[in-house]
Amino acid sequence: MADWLFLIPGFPLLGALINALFGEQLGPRWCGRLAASMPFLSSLVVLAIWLGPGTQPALLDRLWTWMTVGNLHVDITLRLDDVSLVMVSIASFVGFLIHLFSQQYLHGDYGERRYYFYLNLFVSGMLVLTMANNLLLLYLGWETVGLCSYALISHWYRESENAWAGRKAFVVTRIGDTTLLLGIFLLFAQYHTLTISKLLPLVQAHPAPALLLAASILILIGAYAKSAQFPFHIWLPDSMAGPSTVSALIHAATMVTAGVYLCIRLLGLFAVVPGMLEAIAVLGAFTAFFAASCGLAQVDVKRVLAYSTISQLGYMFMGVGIGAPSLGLFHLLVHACFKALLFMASGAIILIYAEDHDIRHMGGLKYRQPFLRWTFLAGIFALAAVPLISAAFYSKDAIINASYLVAGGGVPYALGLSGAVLTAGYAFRLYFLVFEGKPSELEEPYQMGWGMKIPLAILAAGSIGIGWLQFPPGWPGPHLWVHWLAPELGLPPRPLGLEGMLLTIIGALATFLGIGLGYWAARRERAGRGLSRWRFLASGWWIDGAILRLVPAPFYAFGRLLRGGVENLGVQGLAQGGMRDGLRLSAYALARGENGLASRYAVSMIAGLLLLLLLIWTWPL
Amino acid sequence: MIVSLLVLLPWGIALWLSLAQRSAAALSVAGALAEVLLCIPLLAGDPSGLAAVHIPLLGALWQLQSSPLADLFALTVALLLPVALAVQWHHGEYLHQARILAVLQGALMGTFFANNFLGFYIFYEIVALAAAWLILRSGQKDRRAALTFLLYTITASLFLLLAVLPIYLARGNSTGIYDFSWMRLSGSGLSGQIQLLLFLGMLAGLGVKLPLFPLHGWARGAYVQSAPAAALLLSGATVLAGVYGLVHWAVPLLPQGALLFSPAGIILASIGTLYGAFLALSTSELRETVAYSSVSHMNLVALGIFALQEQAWSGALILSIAHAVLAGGLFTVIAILEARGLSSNWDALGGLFRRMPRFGAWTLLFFLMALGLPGLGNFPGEFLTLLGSFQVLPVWAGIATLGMIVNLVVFLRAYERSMLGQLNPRLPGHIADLSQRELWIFLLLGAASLYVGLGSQTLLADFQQLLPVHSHLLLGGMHGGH
Amino acid sequence: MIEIALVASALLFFAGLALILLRRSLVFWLLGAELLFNSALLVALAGGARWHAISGQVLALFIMALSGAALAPSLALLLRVRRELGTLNVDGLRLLREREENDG
Repeated sequence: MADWLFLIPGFPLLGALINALFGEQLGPRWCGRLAASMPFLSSLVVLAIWLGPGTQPALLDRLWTWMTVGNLHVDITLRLDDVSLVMVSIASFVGFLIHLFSQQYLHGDYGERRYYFYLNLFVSGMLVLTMANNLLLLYLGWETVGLCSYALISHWYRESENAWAGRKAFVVTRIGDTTLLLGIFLLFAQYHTLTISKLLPLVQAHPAPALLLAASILILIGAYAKSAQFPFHIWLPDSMAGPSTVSALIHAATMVTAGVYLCIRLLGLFAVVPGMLEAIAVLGAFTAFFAASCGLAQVDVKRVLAYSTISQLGYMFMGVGIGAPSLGLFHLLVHACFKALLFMASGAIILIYAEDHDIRHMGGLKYRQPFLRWTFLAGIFALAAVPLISAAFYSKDAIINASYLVAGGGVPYALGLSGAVLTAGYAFRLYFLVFEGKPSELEEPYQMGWGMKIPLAILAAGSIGIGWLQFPPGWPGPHLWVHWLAPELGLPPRPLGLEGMLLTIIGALATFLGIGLGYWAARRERAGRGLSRWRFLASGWWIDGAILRLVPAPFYAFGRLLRGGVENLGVQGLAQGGMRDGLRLSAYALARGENGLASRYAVSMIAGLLLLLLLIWTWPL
Repeated sequence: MIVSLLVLLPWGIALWLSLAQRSAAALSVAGALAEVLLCIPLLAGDPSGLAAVHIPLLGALWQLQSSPLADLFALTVALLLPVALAVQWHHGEYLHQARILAVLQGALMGTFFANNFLGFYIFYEIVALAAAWLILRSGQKDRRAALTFLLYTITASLFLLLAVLPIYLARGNSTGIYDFSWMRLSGSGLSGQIQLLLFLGMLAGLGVKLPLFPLHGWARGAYVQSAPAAALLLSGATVLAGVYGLVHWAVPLLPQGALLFSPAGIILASIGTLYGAFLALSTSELRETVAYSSVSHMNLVALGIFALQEQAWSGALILSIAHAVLAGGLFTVIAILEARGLSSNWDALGGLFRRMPRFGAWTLLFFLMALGLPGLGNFPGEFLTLLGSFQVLPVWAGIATLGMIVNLVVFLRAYERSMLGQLNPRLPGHIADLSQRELWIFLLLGAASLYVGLGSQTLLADFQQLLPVHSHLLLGGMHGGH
Repeated sequence: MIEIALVASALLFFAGLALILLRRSLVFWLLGAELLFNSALLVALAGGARWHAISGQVLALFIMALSGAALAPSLALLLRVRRELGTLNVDGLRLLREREENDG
């Protein structure tokens, strides 16, 4: 079975290749069908692994040697263990659902073929990223998905703003990529290996505190930039310029979770550095709170969801930081379901409202689009973590509750809990504004086909039901997830007994409080006095604007300075001009000597003779 | 025998092209392809060298010997020439340029295979002259750019010659055999300080071809003013002569000097890497972007060489080969714009993807290669170079790594301004997308890029054969022994 | 004996030099050159006499033959110059000089 692992990323890659080489002959319809079948085939292989050998022990598939120089040895080797099996399942299956959804959603769009090419390439890159056996192969996948994110955000390239948004996303994440690369350099300089499974034991056996601190900060910046964590989150709200399916796949379900995945993978590294995990937990909780507060004031349906993604990723990081990586991964899975659902549904909503993103112009959609309403509501339930009947109640609340137990968990717990209130607030504000109230006259008739309904239905079922894999400790019902991952990730701290019950009830109360907040916010918004008028929240605490004003300008100015001051004046002007003028002057001087006056020649000849004689006479022999 | 043929065939063709005009275009292409074919048996290993033109006290001037690195570089140059010819195919001055390109190619082959320093030097000068001639007679026919190039290279190569003379004399004094061949010159046992001085001299001569910061002053004029095919070969192929000179002559002849210079070299080269990237950032001309980014990449190559570390060396070599592919791609992009009468300034472009989607897609591929996307050709070289030098001088290698961010901004911005966004109303109504010929050029170069990027090991294995040859000279002088 | 010959030779040499440096006419330059020849000839003769070697006289004969042979065509050229260019002043004869370029 292990020998077939390459098929998982191989199928989408093949699809992308065929599309690139023969796409013109196939035509956009067949490109789309081909593209959709590729992740489906991948998920069949993944399913076979679930049913067949499983991933205990981890499966390895060594393909070929990438580079071997001296003590550096990098193979293209795929590795599948429990953690990556979860990621691979998400990437291939959710990827397939989104491909399926795109068939109708993007029909007739310009650049359909380009879209499917990048979508296939993306799935392939994401699969390589998750299955990478060494850090460099992971980096290959990491950059490939970054590229696809860029290309797909700029998909509607004829608007300059979209192209700009794509570039912004790529540049911000590339900053993180570069620090990640520097972190890799540091680790290699000390431990001489890039293979993750060899590196981590070495790190634990021979910790080098200062170097590991530097390396883990650098790697963490990479993860934060990819996962849009504060203050690198600025690219994600703008990335909504791309098609909603792209947001669903890349900016909700898969790529942005790569940072969390990397942290889970390298947990052994962060754990060695004192204080690192605590910092991750606090930063994650802060991002969760901060982004949720911004989400409350957005009027663009997709920007609400974008801030929500940032916030939910914060919870995942918090889970990793408090020593509950399996819960973080669980929330990652749950989030992939409901956020992909919400993004795809919002894509349909935007189509219905004729490309209008403003939720203040919407309302009463439940009457004409009941299917859309119920699936969307399932997603909103999961986002708000409504008790018992939503998956996030079992994942997100579990993270918040667990944080209460760990030492120094007070700050993350407080931030996480208030974030949960805000989360339920913006989730239901969005729902009330779009689906409840009087029907808006901007609405256009739109019939969703099966290709759109099936993915929504499957994801809605997941948003409700996946949580039942892992009930809170002490409750009757299955506790599969945490125990299944325990060999790799260990058991998270679990609140038991009365304490656990109290924490759960507090979490549930927070959700209901948030729903009330959402109802209140939606009513005020309709009355034109909503939170969206609060610039501080709507602009994301002014962070985006401040960074854009302060950071790029010095670089451009520096470039201009180098060009004007050093290159033009120094290199071209002084050095080159000086050389040219010097040669011209000496040529002139020599030419003046050749004047044809034979008597002067005679004088200089005799002078030269005398000089030579003098030299010979005084030469020390 | 084959190696001599590799030099003489292009020269013979150039001569024929100057004398007879009949069916000359076909002949130039046939010659270029024959050259590629001739390179193939070399890769299997061709130990037979040829030594002719013996001169007392100097050695055999025409002494050509194949070696793994030289073979690879020769193959790269041989592959690049058909690309350059294809790029320029419909151009009015095709024949004229084909002639000079052939001379240039022959001379480059000579520099790679020369086993006698004077032979190397003479070939190296012919390369400089042919390149200057190319700048003078193609594209804008800018006399000033050609003169600047000539001034830089000829002045600098004098230093090269002057730096080797003391080695020659010292070796001759100690062994009694005065000879300029590689074996006779190496292992001179001069003291470190003198070696450093001589190394600086050789570096001046060889670094100017790269071009190493701050000797890059000729690059802008040469790359921007000459015809795209000429610039393609200048930035893709002639720089290889400089790289080869450093790797095959300067460092092995003066290992102690190279080691003493290493820290300063790393600092200089990483400044140069960033400098080129920032200059590329501050221009709005695609062609200048390409020119400066080429300078930036070649400084990264220099960084790898100066680091004197195994991974960095392999990285520098593979990066210089990737750079040849990249130069091919980027200058073909420029040539296609020029062939359609389009300016390469952003202000005159914009939204071009709409008119030329195929062209836009391929342009993106080469831009991505230039910004070091893993999987494409530049990445293994950049990674190994930086990884290796990071182990020698972490801070400065780290600073050079930051150049990757600048590079990204440079190329994405250039792409955005020229290809994406609203259609520029100043563009002509009809612009032809890629022709079959242009598509094939891109396919070839794209495949080469993927090959270098993912199948790097096949190339790296070749370098492994090379390094032991040198390492016995360096005698553990390399950084980071294992 | 040889000292007197050397002093005489030096006098002849400097007379020749003076002729070349101070006069502008080609005829005098020719004369000066002959004087330089003769000073060398005198040294050769004196040296041969001092060391009783035949080579001094042989060298003197050579010099006489050589200067005579050189003188004849030189005089012929002088006549031609005089006739063609109308002057024997050396500073007037600069037809082969490097012309100064105006464009630099």
